[in-house]
Amino acid sequence: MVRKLSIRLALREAMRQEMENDETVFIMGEDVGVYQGVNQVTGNLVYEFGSERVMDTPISETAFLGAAVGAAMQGLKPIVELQVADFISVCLDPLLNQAAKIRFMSGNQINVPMVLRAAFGAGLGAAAQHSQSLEAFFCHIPGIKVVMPATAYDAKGLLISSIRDTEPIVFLEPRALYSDESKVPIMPYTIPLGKADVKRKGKDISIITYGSMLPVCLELSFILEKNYQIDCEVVDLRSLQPLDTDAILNSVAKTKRVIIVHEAVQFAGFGAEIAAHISQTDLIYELKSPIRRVGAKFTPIPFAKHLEESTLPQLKNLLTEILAMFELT
Amino acid sequence: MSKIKFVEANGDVSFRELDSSVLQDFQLQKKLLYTMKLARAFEEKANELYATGFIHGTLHLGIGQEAAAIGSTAAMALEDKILITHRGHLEAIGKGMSIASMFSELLGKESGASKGYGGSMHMIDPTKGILHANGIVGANAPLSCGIALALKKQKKVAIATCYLGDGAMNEGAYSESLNLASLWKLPVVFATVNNKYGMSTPIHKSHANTDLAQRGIAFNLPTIDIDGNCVLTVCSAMKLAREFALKNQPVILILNTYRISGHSRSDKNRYREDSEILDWKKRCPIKRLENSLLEQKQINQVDIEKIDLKIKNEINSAVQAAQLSELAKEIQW
Ligand SMILES: Cc1ncc(C[n+]2csc(CCOP(=O)(O)OP(=O)(O)O)c2C)c(N)n1
Ligand SMILES: [Mg+2]
Repeated sequence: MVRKLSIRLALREAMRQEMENDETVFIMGEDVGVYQGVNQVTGNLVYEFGSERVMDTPISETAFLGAAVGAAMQGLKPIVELQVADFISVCLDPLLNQAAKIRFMSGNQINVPMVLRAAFGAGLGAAAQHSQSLEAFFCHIPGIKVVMPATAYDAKGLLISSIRDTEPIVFLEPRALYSDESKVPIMPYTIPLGKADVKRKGKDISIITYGSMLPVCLELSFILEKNYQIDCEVVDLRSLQPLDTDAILNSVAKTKRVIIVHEAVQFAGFGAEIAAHISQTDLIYELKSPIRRVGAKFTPIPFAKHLEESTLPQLKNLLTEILAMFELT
Repeated sequence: MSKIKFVEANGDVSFRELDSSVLQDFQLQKKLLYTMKLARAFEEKANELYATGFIHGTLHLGIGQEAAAIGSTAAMALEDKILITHRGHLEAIGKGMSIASMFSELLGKESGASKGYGGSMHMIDPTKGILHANGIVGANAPLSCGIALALKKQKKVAIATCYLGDGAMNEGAYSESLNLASLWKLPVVFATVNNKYGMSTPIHKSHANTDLAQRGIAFNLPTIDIDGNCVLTVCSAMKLAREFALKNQPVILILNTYRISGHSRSDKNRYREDSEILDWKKRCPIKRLENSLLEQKQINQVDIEKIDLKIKNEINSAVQAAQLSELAKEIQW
């Protein structure tokens, strides 16, 4: 059976089904119990599984993220919730120097099957310390996987895959999209990590994106088709590490034009990595227009609504960029 | 022999006698002597291999700290888990890690414990319960809470012991972990090897309260504070700590000792007097047990020579095996 679910409920369903299926899976984080999670993702799970498996923690991110790493080393499968990804600043060591390194420096003797779930992104007036998109920073750490769903269907399948994976995973949830709905099967299912998804097929230009910018890119392609007869292909990467380079190159080989869109600041953003992958192949000689990338301005996220909006990639800017690629401006 | 100082969570202090089973078990004591000597010989050999260019990188030796490491690990079961530090050779040997695989690791060989991907700071062997050897000061503390949490959830009769130094006590991760362990009643022992210095910085320049045994009071945790150079005291104290931890009462164990070796290869000894080192050399934990066994006529000079020769052979054949084995291969990553 398939029905519509929000990203929030799809994530909750994934956790519920994996906790039913595997008793070593448990959740820990701040206010994930009776408060039901700051983003209401854990919801009623504490009533279904009890406080031993949906564990409220003190406001001690280093201690509980580190404890999750330790529990994973000793054979459990913790899902840790960080209220927003920005808080990684106070607990980076358990991720950067512990989880990411343990399998490696133990010579493959010890695995760390842990999922760190964190909301990310701007648009909610949460200001500079609760709005960042830090995925490029996570991707720069060998030893962890970075997963970024943008739809409820992907959220459920990718979270189940992440929980079942044997590696530490940073699972970034687009905070502004928690209530976005799509069709989600009721049964558990997995989506392989490292497989992009073409969310819209097209022949004129590839829009490579992920996470919170997916709905904007889909809206953009609708406008481009309707008003300019430009047929966009929208590729949703879904996970950045591992990265589906084949999907990127296949799409660009077909369209010969590419723009990369993400919410994170453009400078040294993940878009640079994608652009480099394309430009290192012979496809570079076939492109009809130089590779473009669009991200946020290189500033912290401001509070006021109009300022926040002007910092982030806007539909109208994207439209201008793409029209320029077709010499239509 | 010194007594065991016990500081209750409320700050009340009492002194306890050593475990009579440790005091009367001369088989155990001879084993402790052997293991301490083996650990000392391992480090001296490693130092020699380093000085002659066979070992890449650096070494953090724990010469002088053998009783703290060997006495505590001797009080554990194989199922107990430990997390050791950058100065972890001694605890690794105490927990039963093979010195051949440790030498191989130092020499970057495929037969090394971590196949050449760990090195001196990361002697890891899950088959012996050595789950981590951490180069980040203080980082063991949160991990040990998680390992203890898992042991508790899995209903195992086992504890986690988090080794760390006096310097590591000033990391935020340590305080956060004391709180979490106490709050969640985790089967964990925080074994603090107080060797008086964090690199060059002595305790009075790094701890606002130099009585380390008072730290636990703030977290509602009991502390056992002992002479870490008396291996029998250490072994008794760790047994006591383990009993508490098995009942889900976390404990801080402070092992007061001294690092005779430098901090690492970069140490030029600019921060302490030679006389201080000399003074502690006289308090060598290995000699101390040896003399006690001699006095009690449990061993004689001939026995000691036999032990020393056996250790020399054991070290030499481990080094030889390591030298003969092939270089580490690229890891599947
Ligand atoms: C987080 C962190 N800070 C600094 C260092 C560098 N460092 C390595 S060992 C050490 C001293 C640690 O002192 P202590 O905890 O007392 O352990 P000891 O070296 O005395 O065994 C320092 C500063 C490090 N490895 N990790
Ligand atoms: Mg020290």
